[in-house]
Amino acid sequence: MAFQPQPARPSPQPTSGFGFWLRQNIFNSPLNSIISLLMIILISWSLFNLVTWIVAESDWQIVWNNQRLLAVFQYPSDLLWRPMTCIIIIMSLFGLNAGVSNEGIGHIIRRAFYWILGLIVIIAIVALVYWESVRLYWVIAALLPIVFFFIGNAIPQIAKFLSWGWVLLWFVCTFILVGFGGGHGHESTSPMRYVNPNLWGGMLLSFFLSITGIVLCFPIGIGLALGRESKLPIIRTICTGYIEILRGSPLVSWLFLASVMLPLAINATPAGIIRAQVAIILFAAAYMAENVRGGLQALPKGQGEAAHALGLSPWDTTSIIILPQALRAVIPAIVGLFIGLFKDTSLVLIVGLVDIFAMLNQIANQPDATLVAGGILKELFIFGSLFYWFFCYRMSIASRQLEKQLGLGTR
Amino acid sequence: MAVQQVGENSQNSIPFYRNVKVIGNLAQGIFLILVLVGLAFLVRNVIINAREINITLGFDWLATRAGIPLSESPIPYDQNIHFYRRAIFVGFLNTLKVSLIGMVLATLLGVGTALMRLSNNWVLRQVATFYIEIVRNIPLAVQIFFWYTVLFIPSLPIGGNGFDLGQGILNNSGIAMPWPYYTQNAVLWLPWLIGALVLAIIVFFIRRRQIILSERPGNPWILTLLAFVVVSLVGYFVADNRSTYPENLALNFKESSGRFTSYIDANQDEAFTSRTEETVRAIPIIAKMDEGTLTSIPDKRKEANRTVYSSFRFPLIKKSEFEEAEVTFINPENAEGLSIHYNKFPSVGQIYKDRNGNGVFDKGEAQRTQEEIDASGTPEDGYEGINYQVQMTVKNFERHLVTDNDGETKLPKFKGDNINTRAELKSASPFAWSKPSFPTERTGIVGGQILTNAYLALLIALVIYTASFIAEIVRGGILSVPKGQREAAQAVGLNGSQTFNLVVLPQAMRIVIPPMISQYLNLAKNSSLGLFCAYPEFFKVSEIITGQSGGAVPMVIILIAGYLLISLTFSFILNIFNNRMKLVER
Repeated sequence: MAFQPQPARPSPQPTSGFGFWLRQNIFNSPLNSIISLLMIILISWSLFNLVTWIVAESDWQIVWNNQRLLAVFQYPSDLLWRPMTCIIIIMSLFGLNAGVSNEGIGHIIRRAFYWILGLIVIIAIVALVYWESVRLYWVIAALLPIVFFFIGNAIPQIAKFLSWGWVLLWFVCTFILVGFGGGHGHESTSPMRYVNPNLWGGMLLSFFLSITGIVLCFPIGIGLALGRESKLPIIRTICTGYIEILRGSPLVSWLFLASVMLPLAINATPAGIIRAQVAIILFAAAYMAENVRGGLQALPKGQGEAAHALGLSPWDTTSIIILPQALRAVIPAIVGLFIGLFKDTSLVLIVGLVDIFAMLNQIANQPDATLVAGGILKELFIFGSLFYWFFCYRMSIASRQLEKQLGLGTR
Repeated sequence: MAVQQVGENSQNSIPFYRNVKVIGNLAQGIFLILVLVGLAFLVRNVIINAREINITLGFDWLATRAGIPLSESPIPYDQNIHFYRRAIFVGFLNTLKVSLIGMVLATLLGVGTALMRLSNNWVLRQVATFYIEIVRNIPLAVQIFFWYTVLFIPSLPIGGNGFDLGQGILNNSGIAMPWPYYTQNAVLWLPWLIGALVLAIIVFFIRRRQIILSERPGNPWILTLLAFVVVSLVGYFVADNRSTYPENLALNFKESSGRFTSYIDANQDEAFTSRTEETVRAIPIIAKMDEGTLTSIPDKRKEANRTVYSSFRFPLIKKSEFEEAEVTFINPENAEGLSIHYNKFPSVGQIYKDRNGNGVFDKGEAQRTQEEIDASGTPEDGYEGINYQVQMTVKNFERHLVTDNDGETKLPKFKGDNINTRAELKSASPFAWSKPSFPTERTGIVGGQILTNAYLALLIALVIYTASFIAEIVRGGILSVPKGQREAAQAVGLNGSQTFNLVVLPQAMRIVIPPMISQYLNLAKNSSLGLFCAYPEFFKVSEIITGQSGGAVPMVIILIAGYLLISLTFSFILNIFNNRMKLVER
């Protein structure tokens, strides 16, 4: 009997390569293949339409013509160096912070810095070509942060001063933006003259309201959270009541309340931006309190008891043992709150402020837009969406990375 | 002894300012006083200032005529009759209407998206991820702007020129769709419905007990649903059979306005006296007409992104409603060489001059050439105006109508010598199926139910926005169930759907429900952005009233109290559900 070799087994299916990936992820069953094909056709068709629209039909002239209104609204044009200086200072500190460390949270900050710097570099190139009056500032805003990045890299010991820098920064920037001296902006030509808050608007307002909101709601929120966790019944009840009432009604109603009642309640008529800001801060404080409370509750009880046993006073226990740990745990939630606040600034239109969304609404009603058949709406909408989307998306990425870094979500 | 001594001593020696209890109470007292004084100061200022500039702090104005038009209302509302309090209540109901339906739809879309993100199909996963990452990073206000201002308003055609959906129509005021109106006979069905519900509950408990005793997997819902459907259907047929019309029910037709009124002819004089005779709602009728004409003067009309020249519009009449219809020029001598093109036969169309002689309407043929404009001496660039007036002649017209809440319904205003408009009653039943119709050439829908564009825009934006958050919550919940649970379920022989329904889902629910509750509350609160699309919800109505009544302060208080009521009620109900889920999970 002759030797009969057994027929060779068929070669195994490859478990790597593009073909394997396709079989595994797109054509892994008849039904999935059909769904995939249909979706791919649908997506290609929409993309094709979108691209043809962008290339052939869209008209961005109206956005370009209104660039200053969209950016700063009626902030005096000879004072544009002031918001620009704020951008430069903020970016420099950001650069310093990003340069200090590339470990853990430092890595996340550095990644975010690269993104924002990339955006500013692009704007600076546009500025170099088109914007004569602020050309210089944008170039500085793109270059100085890089310098500070390397300074931070060289002197990492600077890290311990940075958190104070950020706190100080808010005061400095607010001061630069508001200016000083009485009277009305139009009479004086001084470079640091007072700018009427009614002239603020556009992106400047969106950023200012949300950043100020998150900064100033912080101490109130911590106080409320501690109050709600406190053993003293009256304080607990009042804080709980405040938090639940503020959270129980939408922000628009508080903005509305502030614009109607605040002038009556404090015997003065503050500018619209201050009224809106007060409402935003008080509203955000309730949410901040709930976030901080989450951190307080997540903290093991032993931490406080150990501090107590060591003889620390209640004040010291709270301020150097409990709060630092609790706040560290809720950083992602605070970023989330900031994203929410940033999106919510689009509501200030109802109290008569002109943020970027309100400005887009106004532009949609300009003759330039309405005289065109069908109106120029898609371009305005896309521009506004991209503005919000870029910053919110970038922050949500950072928030997710922070969550991972701090070991949350894996409990 | 000595220990006690020390204890007593130390107790006596603690000064009050170092006693924790005393300090605590003192701090509370001071805090309370500060809060109260602060509040009192603010309230006092409000009262003094309000008196000074003469705005009311009372609630008397609630009982004065509202006089504000509200574009939609789930309950009867007339701005000339009803008071402010009714208007506020309408706004409140509108908020509930959009929130409740939004919650259901957002849950469906959110769970669907979560399953897409977890599917083994790469394309689906990517689509779901893109959707989530785009939608939740753009403010809701901007999204409402997109749906309403960018999409709906410019692209939906006016009135009767809307998209025909068969039974309904989609146009610039919204989707008009057929709707069952309950009639007086609905009462006959009610006991059956209640009976069906009771039976269903009994069946549910018996069946569940059986399943538990049998110790086999099973679903009590199928039989429950079956019992409910069968009994309520049988009940409907019985009620339908026993349905009758009230005595002396009569129909009145007023030719000048084309209006039918269903009423109780109390004095049997066959004439309707609006002051003394009572109207009856929801009476289904078949209106008929022998031969009548309608006229229209062609004019220019702005559509989505173009101007339509030489356009004529008649009240919308569908092909199924007549035997014969024809559109002709009233003065043919003015219209030499002109033809008629229908965008929607026979109601909407354009007049054109067939310059290239191909017998069909081509682009630009509805506009006059420069020579024609120069020759005629009139500047109009279309074949427009009284000279080109057209008329539609309709023969043997028949339309099914249902009278509305006022006992009224309308036909187009036909004219002619032998119109012979009449109506007959359809057979009585618990519900009357009312289809929307357009008795005038612009808007003015009669019958059916209309979902306005504002409502749709708000609902779609809310659902899409909230669903993107819900999807992430659900995904997180499903992923949080340890893999071992699934493997164990398979090891004991459960199949795929049993593993998901009996093992994964109950455990995921425990994690999913609390954040879902806060998303539902967010949705309800976010409905206040309806003001960006002119949907008359609670906040929008309050804002209008504040500008008008002078009762700004009380209105704001009502507004916030109303939203608190909604939030607390929802969170109460949802937390009951949450607690039940917790118990089940053990």
